[in-house]
Amino acid sequence: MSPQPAAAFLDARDMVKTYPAPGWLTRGRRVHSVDHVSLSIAKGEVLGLVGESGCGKSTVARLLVRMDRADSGLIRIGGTEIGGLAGADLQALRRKVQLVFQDPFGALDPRMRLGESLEAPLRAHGIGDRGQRQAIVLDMLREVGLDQSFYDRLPRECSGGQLQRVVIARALILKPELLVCDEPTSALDASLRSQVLNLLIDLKHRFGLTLLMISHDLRVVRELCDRIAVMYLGEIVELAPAAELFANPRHPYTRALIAASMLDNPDLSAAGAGLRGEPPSPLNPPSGCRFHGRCPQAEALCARSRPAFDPTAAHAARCHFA
Amino acid sequence: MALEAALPDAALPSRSRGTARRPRFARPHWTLVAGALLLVLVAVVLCLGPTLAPYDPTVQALIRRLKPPSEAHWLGTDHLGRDVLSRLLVGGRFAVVIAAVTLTLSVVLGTLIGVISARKGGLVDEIAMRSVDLLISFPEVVVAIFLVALLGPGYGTLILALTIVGWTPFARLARGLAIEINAKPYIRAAEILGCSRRFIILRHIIPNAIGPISAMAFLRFGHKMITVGGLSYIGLGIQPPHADWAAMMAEAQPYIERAPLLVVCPGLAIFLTALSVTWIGQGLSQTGSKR
Amino acid sequence: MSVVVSLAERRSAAAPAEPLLAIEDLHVAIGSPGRAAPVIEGMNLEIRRSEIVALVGESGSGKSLTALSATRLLPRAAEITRGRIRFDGADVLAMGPRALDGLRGNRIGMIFQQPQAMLDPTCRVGDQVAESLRQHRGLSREAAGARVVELFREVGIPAPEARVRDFPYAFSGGMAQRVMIAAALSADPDLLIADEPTTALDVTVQAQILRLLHEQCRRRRMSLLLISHDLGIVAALADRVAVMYAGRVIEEGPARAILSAPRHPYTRALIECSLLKRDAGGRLVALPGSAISARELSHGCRFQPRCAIAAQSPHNHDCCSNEPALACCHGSHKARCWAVKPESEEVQQ
Repeated sequence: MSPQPAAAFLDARDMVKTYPAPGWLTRGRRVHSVDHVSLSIAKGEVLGLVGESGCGKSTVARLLVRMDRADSGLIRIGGTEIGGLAGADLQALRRKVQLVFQDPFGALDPRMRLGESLEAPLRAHGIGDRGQRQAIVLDMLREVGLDQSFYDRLPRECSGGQLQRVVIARALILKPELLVCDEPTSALDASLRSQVLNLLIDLKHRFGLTLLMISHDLRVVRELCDRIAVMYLGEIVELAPAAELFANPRHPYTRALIAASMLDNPDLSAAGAGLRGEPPSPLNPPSGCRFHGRCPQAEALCARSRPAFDPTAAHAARCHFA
Repeated sequence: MALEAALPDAALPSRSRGTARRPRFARPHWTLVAGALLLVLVAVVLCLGPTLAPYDPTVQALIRRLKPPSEAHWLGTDHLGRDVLSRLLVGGRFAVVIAAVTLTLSVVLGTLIGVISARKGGLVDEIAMRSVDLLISFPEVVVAIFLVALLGPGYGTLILALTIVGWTPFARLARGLAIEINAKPYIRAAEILGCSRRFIILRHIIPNAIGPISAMAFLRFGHKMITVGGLSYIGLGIQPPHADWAAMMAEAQPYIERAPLLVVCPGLAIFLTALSVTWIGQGLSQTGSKR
Repeated sequence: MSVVVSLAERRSAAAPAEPLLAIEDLHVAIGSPGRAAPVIEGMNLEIRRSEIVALVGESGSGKSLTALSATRLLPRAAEITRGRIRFDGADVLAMGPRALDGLRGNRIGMIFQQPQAMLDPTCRVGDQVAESLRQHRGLSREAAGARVVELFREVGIPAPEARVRDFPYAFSGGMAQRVMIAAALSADPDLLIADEPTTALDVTVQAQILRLLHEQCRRRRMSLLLISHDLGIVAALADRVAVMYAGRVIEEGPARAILSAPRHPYTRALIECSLLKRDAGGRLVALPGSAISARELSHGCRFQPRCAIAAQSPHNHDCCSNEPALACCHGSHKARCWAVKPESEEVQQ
């Protein structure tokens, strides 16, 4: 799909992020939302990150765009360590990395006209005068397939699909190099999903973007991504080129996810047959392999020892039997 | 080809124009309309009062004291023989002006403190909220008495006294709203895009919080007017011989049996003014919550 | 495979010809009396006993309002302006408050997209389900409690004896949806309405919930109205599919016929979108524009502005000026499109 990876544009090593546990019963304990996750994305590459809700994939997004700071680990974007950035350096990072939100209705201020929402980042970065900024905004609206009339509209006067285009336009208005998309289509109807995905692919080519696509839907990442990382309970359990992952999934969790996402298969009894129950609480991650409780192939070894994982391998899986 | 397929919405601009999520029903609540009409009436009376008044409201004529309503004096005369209608027409200005000024100051001060406190959190939040706790437990009247004793009576003193206590409920409300708004994804978006704290507070948080805050300001207006009236009643407000509704009630108290209108008329005036503003506040919050 | 078998089973055991739920010529408008705007115009839908019907459409197409009309639970701003709704022979629109309570409590169960929002966070989950049992069934506290444990086990909640005492925050989305299903099943309803039951859930859990719904329908001979925006997901489960667009059904028929040979261009596009199919140029097949609502179009086919074939079709004039009727194309398979030829001219596959 895209040229072979050159040097890694984003290089994250051993990211750890914990949050204080909710509720007074568990006070003082911390949830390991992201537990020693390493990722790298080459310039121009599209990396998919999939997993069920609560697996930590959105936390990864928050760390990469510096919405939150990692507890430990190194995140380099374009060669710069982003953990300690502040002031002007942080503003420079904002121009390199942007985020597309999941819910377009929440991501736009309901009382602000779309034009002003789009102009705000330009103002914040001191780009252009009034007239120039307006021209940039109108240009960007056109890029995402919206006409000028949207400049003066309020979010409630638009449909979800149109708003998601505006959210994408706003993320691109500072001309970032890396775009992190956190479930960009999961709040949209199936009929609009393809529109937005096509738009993202077009924009990737036009702007030479590097993309991180986060989704719970394997079908979506399969269509878009060069490589796919599968996350389970705060860890990456499998990392492989997209075609390879679907042709030859090595981790039982990946296999279960693939089976479950092929719902167009009329034989419903086969779909998701491999997977029992739901992910355990990240507050008490299971010993050994974190997936062993739900794994159809688990053996005694899996409960005792944690499988190793080499994020630099071409096709890596965190499973004793891979 | 590629671009055309990516531009489907542009192809249908006129059609998508009306694709609002929900039709906008801007029909105002009836209390808003009724309150606004009543307030216009009150405002006209307050503005034109001095020209409408048939007599000088401060001129005494002791031979005509405590007369019942007549051709010459529609609402009779008070214990010093002054025309009640004339005094009524000019007597509202003081309380209304004081209430409006204190409320405006309270809203501005309270909103800023509340919002900043919510955004900063930590020690700033703690200090601001504990001051609110402290101040909110002081009755306004006590603070006013204290300040009048210290600074002497006057507009300035009253406004200061009422504002010192008055901003606290607005700070609480604004803080609650700001915490809620601050958790929204569009605030995260603004932060990631590098927007300044000032911009986020002034352009995102305050515009989204101002609806409930202004509704509360209107709801408290009546209460403020009555407090001002109460202060005038105990002699801390406007000084005689100038007319003021609450002061008129106070002065008329000894004669309530002989001339009940002396108490009823200014009381009714206070009530109607307070009601009009309260209705507007009620209407605003009703209309706002429907959206 | 299993779907087909169950379909045959159900047909053979099919009760009287009278459908369980019949919605005829339903019109719903939203807004204050003076400026009401139509959102559903002439909606027809039938659900037979122990049949699974999928009602599919984009947001704003009126699918949820149709379901809410059936139980008279429309939001205050919406009003049924015309039409007939019969449930098991009784006229739903003529029912008084008590009859409606009985209908909602005992005959029709409902589950929604956000299961956690439907649970009171301050009340134990088991008690919330037991409450309706005690009210509608008159069970004692102990009997209701025991029945809830049984129901929880039936819907696949592990360790039901312990879970009934938990509060809603301890339930994940999938588990909360199971609780809602248990609550809906507690009254042994004839019809279950599931409005986007899996949209908010993870893919792995989606499959589990759909499977659970399918199983329960089969076992209880219960009818299911499954509402979703994703045709691919629900069609696998359904006997019959009705596709809604801008307040009307534009195609309906047996699920297999619709999935394998959709006749309406909108349905075809929905299926391709749902499966993320690619076109000849390697781009994902997308439906241009966004859905319009019933109130915006007064003449012509409602899908015409977004329709790829309307532009080149010999029926183009009809497409712009007149709305096509829901015409038979094969057996019970009907579509509302000028380009659909009647059965006789059709070459059968």
